[in-house]
Amino acid sequence: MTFSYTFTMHDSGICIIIPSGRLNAVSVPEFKKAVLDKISKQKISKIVIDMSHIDFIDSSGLSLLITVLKQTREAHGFLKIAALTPETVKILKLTLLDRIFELYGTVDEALKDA
Amino acid sequence: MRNLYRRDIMKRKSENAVYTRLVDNFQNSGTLFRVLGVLVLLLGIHYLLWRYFKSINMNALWYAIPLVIAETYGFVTFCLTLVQIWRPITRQAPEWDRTPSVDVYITTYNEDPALVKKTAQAAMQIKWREKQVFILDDGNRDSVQQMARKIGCSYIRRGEEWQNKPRHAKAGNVNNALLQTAGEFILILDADQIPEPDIISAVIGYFKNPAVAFVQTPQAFYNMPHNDPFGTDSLLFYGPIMLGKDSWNAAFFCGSNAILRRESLMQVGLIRYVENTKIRMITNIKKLKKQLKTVRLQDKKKKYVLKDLIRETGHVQRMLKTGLPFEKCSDYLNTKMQEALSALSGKGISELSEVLEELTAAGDMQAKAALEAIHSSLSTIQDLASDTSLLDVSGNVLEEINLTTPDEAIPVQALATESVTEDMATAMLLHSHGWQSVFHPEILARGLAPEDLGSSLGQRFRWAQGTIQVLKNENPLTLKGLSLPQRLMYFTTIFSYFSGFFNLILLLSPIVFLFTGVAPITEWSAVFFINFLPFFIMNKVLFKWMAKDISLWRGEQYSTALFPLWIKAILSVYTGRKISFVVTPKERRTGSYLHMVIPQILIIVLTAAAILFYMFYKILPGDGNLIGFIVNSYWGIYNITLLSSIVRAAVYKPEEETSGSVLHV
Repeated sequence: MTFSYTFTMHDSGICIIIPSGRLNAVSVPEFKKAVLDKISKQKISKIVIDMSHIDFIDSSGLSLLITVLKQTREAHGFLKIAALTPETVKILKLTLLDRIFELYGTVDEALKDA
Repeated sequence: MRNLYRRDIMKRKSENAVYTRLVDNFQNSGTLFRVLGVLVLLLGIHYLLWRYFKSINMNALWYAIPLVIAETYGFVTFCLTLVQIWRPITRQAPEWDRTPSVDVYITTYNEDPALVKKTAQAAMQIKWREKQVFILDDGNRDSVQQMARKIGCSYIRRGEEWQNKPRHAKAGNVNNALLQTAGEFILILDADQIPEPDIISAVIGYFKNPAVAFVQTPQAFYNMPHNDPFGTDSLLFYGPIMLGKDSWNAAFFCGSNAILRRESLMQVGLIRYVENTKIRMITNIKKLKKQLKTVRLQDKKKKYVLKDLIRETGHVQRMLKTGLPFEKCSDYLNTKMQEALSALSGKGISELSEVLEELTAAGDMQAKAALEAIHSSLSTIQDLASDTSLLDVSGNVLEEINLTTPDEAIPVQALATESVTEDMATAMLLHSHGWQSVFHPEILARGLAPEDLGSSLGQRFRWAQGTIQVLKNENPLTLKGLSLPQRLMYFTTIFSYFSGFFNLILLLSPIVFLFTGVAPITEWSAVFFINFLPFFIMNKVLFKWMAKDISLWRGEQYSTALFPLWIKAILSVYTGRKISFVVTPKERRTGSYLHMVIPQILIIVLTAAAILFYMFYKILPGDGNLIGFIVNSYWGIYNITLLSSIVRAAVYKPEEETSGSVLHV
């Protein structure tokens, strides 16, 4: 399955990103560029990623999440990740990233907490 | 290039034959080796028991105790080595029907572009469909970039994010590239390591096992000077030692000539990021709390705000302990900090002032009066800021708490960056997280050996320093997740660098006896020979037999002769003092490096003088101890031969043919 993503601006100024497919070393470079451009060029620093369409994420994908976390917080914003599939949660826990991120059940929950 | 390979095939065959014979030897006579090993072990125990309980000269404990400790160190090293090579395994890479993508990384910093080009061209010739060659240039050289474009390989250098941040040398270079390439596997080559066309296909099959993180192949040299003056030959390490370590799933990653699984590297990088973030959070919240406690305020209300904030930092410390996500803890504390700052400084005034400015512009005099009041409030805020130094707190400490890792260019560092020997530290982390490793005993890349003593010593000093740093930062004896044999395998290597202190004792011992006549043992007699010789001789026989065609002599010479280097390395790590290591490349090849081996020369001279002294002033007049003289002068001469290698290397001048061959390949 090919990897794709959409950016949607929420009324509150939060950008909701919906990637879908396999977020791995192959898809990361292009996706990373798109997200980091949003942060640096469009000055968007409040991001929620809807992970519900991610079938698989590898450590390169997770590493991207950390990079985005750093960039958004440097710009006084935040990154929240929501709606992870059970498989993705498992991979996240394996690398202890559940100690970094609050894992929101749904995008709405993440927005509410923003 | 083709000529290069044709010429190399013959050399490669003969070099690899050493490994084949070694492996055959282990396979055919492993049991005999182990039986002999136990025998030597028993002889060693017997000797040490005699030394401790029967032979110590109680009248010269200042001399006897250090010597017996040095001997004990030697015995422990023997035991560790025996465990290491107890049951070396031999492997065959399994067939794999996949051809996964492999990124070839050629790491360079300041090497000659012609040398990098040669390696890159050879890398382009690697027979593997799914490969991409990258030159990782830490020297930011446009000439290398152009060369890369010309020969058709990719080029990576550090981006802006690395400005004013620690670069972490080679580890940082690789970590930077890992974020920009996508290969499932990574072949790492130092700039001088010319790979064989089958370097990937020969070993990729090992990765069929999804738990294998890396496969290390030997490092060999195409410019090895005749007789190996600098003791560079690595056959012993990439032979018995690595085969032994591999049998305990503890093969080392040695920085080059290895293929690594990207996923394994990224995974340990992430885990380390989380662990480091936790440490940084805890430390910085503690710092923040401490800084806040030093703030002195007069105003009662403000005092209360501050007290409240200090209480909140304590609350966040507890939140961290309960396992709440750092993001949550960080956000909570940030909110509380902002609330407190707002209460202390009357935030909101500035926004109001903007509105009032507009009103003033419109000629509203009432607004003007209000504006003046605001100005005075603002100056109070500035006073407050300087009084309380509250805004100082919001520097690096707050950035750390805000999870932005302000001191790092990239947050996730896959290759360990804490020590100079990033390779060893990375392998240890991989092993501690359950990943497996493989050592494949076949030369698949060859590089440049140091051509002068200065470079050789510089390289070894960095290795020693890095290895000791690993012990200091992540002690393998206590690191969670390693198996007992893995702990021992790492410890064996680290322990060997402590030999400097003990070798110094062994080198000084005969000098002390010959000059002073004071003996470290109760008497020099036949009893000494009966106890000592069986262990000493059998030890030599065992290792000689084990090493098969590999010469151990040069290695033994250097492991003793490098004692000042090992001592310096340990002191530099534990005292935190930077010890400069002077290497003068201009003098390379033709220069003399005698100034670097002064301690060794001193020991040689003292030993020779001590032998002559005892002979002329004790033996010839007839009042010396003949057996003591024989033992100590033999020992002294043995020490001189051990040390002589490095002194010869200091004045070594390569033959033209050898030194030139590199450039004309």
